Amino acid sequence: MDESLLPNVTQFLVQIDPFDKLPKAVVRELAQQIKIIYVGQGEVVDLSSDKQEKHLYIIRSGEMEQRKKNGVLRARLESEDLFGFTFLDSEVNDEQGYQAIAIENCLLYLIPHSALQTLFKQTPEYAEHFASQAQVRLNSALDVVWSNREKGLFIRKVKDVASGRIAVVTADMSIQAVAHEMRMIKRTSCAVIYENDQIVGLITDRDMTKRVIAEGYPIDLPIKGVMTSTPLIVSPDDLVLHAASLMMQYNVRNLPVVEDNKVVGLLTTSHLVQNHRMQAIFLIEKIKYAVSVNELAELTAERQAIFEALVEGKVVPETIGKVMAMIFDAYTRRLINIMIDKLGEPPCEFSWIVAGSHARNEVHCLTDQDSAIVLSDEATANDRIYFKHLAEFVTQGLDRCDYPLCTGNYMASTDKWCQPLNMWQHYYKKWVANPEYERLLNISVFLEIRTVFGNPQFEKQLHECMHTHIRNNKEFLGILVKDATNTNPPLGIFNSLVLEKSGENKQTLNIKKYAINLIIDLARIYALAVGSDALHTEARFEAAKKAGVLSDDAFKNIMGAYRFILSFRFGHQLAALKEGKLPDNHINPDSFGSFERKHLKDAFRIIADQQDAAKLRFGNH
Amino acid sequence: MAIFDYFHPLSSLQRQREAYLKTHQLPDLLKQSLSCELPSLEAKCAELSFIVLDIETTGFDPKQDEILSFGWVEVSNLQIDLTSSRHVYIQNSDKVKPESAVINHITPQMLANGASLHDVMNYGISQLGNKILVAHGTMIEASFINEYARKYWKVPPLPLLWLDTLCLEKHFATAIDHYSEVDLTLGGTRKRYGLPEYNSHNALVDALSAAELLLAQQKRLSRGSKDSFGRLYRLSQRK
Repeated sequence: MDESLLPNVTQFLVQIDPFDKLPKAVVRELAQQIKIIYVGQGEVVDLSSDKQEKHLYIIRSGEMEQRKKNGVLRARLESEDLFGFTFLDSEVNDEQGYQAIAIENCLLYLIPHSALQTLFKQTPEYAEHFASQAQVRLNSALDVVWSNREKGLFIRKVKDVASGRIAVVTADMSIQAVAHEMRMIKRTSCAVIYENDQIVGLITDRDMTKRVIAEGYPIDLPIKGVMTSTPLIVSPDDLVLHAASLMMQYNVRNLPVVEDNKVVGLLTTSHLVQNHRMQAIFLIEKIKYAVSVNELAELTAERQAIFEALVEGKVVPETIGKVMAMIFDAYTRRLINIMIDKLGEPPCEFSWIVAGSHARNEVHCLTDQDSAIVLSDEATANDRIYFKHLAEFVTQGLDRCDYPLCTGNYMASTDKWCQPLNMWQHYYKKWVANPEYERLLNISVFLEIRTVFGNPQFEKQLHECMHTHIRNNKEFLGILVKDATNTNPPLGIFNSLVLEKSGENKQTLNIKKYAINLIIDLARIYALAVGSDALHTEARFEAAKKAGVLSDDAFKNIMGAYRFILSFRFGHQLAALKEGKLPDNHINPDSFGSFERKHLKDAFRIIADQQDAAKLRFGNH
Repeated sequence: MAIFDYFHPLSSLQRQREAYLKTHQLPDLLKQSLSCELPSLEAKCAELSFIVLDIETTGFDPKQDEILSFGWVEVSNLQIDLTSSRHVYIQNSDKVKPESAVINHITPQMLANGASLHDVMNYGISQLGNKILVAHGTMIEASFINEYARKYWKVPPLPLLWLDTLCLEKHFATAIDHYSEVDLTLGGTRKRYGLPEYNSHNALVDALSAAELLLAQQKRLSRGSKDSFGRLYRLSQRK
């Protein structure tokens, strides 16, 4: 029998993994046991229901989304993707309860688990294809889905995770004696070095290879000569997340845990990797090695899960914003590198600059793209074509990775925002000299800039240029204040004036517009007033306080208000994600209790007070 | 019975069947099959069984042309069950006498040797029960089956319960725009529903294609309204 009964079904199956690894006759056999269903957009396929026979699902056409029971996105699936692998291990059936939701109308092929189990009983080696298939397909999904224990890792303390294995030596000990202590006595990869009861350095087995063996450095000399001086350390009460951020930021693998100048343990990346999945690090690693936009785009679900876990873990908003910004940076750099690989080395010096909330490291799950390219003044017209392609690729690529395009086109792919340094300097001069209408909008976007790729000098020069112009135009701050205080926070939450009147978000309060932006604007004004280059909102208030422009009391108040409102918004967005909805900034005043209501009112009042104070201090009277 | 229901096409088919059974001398198989009760107007499609059928013929005239092959697949609980799919080539029917036909077991794949037309017809009628026959454009299938009935069972056209996915689609299209010209072919219709394109064609592939379309149409019809067979059936009548 060489003709297939159902050529259309069989042909489809034999070309997709793992069916392509089975003999054709076996696939034909399986094809004849398939059931076909059609699910409409928005319909849910509940895999955890134990009433019916379980199936392996193959998407023939359409797109689906898998979500855990609590709504966390697990994976996005399209034609040729499979789900419903619970047959692989009957033990996990109950644990793995998740739903598949049709994003569009879908045609699904269902293979009964019993048919597969019969097949595997006859030929056990076939099962392996399905096992590896499940692993590959669900690998990212598994990484996304954290057990409660892992989710908690972010907010657990370093002392709960670190090991006690670390060598403690003195600066005058010979390299060999230190190596002996590390290898033979403590069996550790790392030693902390003391001198006069102070921690002065750190040495790792990698350092030994790099600085001693490779260099032919004499091993009877004191360790002091090859150690890393003033090492990064963490305290046992620090959050694991903080330690992980340090590791990422400084690219180190070992962090001694120190309490009252005493070494109590060691935290290494392998600790995190072995015992737990340190998601943000993993994701950034994956981003670094992705070779295509498609590959990068597949990581979105993971990014969202990290965001969700950070919010659920009640990590302070500042850290959430920073971690999400690090990830955003990694995507941007990777896309730039992918394109440089395609186009060849850039023809002149440039820097890729991000603006707005991305520059401020205040990234959340709704953040869109704000970017620009600053070119060296030597750039020729031809050179600019190169950067036009680069910018187009990166901005479109980021869009594919669910970083929406900027609706105002404040992106490097817009000609106006891909210019040589002298043009940018001219822009700033013009904006500050006459900050009206569009110019005010332009400068408020580009008041915060941060280099993500390329020559960081350009950003520095632009900052200097901006500060000089602002110092020379006494009116400028006043105009900024006037604009920033045009919108006022609601005096009462039920103040119907601020609730949206119509449309989808009727009777809700836009917390971004009426609270968060107002605080960010105030912070910017204070930072500019004291000539600070700080970008982060909290750091800006800090700078103003140090310069004596903001009282201690006012500082504490506005910081409290800012953090509370940010957590409040994150909580709101998390709730939306859990319900499978798109997160937004619209809060319903009826949806929260008196505790939040009271705190929100306090926060609004503080913002209003600060606006008045700023008007008095910086306003043009 | 409400007067409205009395004129429902499904109610008139029921009366037609009762009269048919009384008036005509029928082979037992046919008698049993036509005695099966039709689904009620309120029956939920999700609880009914359908046989989606496609035949390949040498032409469009049942008096002159011959059936080459049958393909069919069953749909129940809104699921297409491929274990029920059959694809049969017909042997040269002249060689087999109708009297000699027994209900052979029709295997899923009677391709190489084929089966006699009488076997297939007898098997088909015996399997029908109260299942609903479905085709995309039922005209061809119904006319060839009726021609067989006339020739070998000596009876007038059979009062079978047919559902036409083409007529359903026509209703949907004209409901949106009365004068619209819509591609109502199976391929064109499937494309509108986002169903995959099939390159190979035979009676079974086409039956399966129509079955998938039926699921999509049922989904469309049950959106925001009650899922009743009466409604589906009324919309599938030719205008």
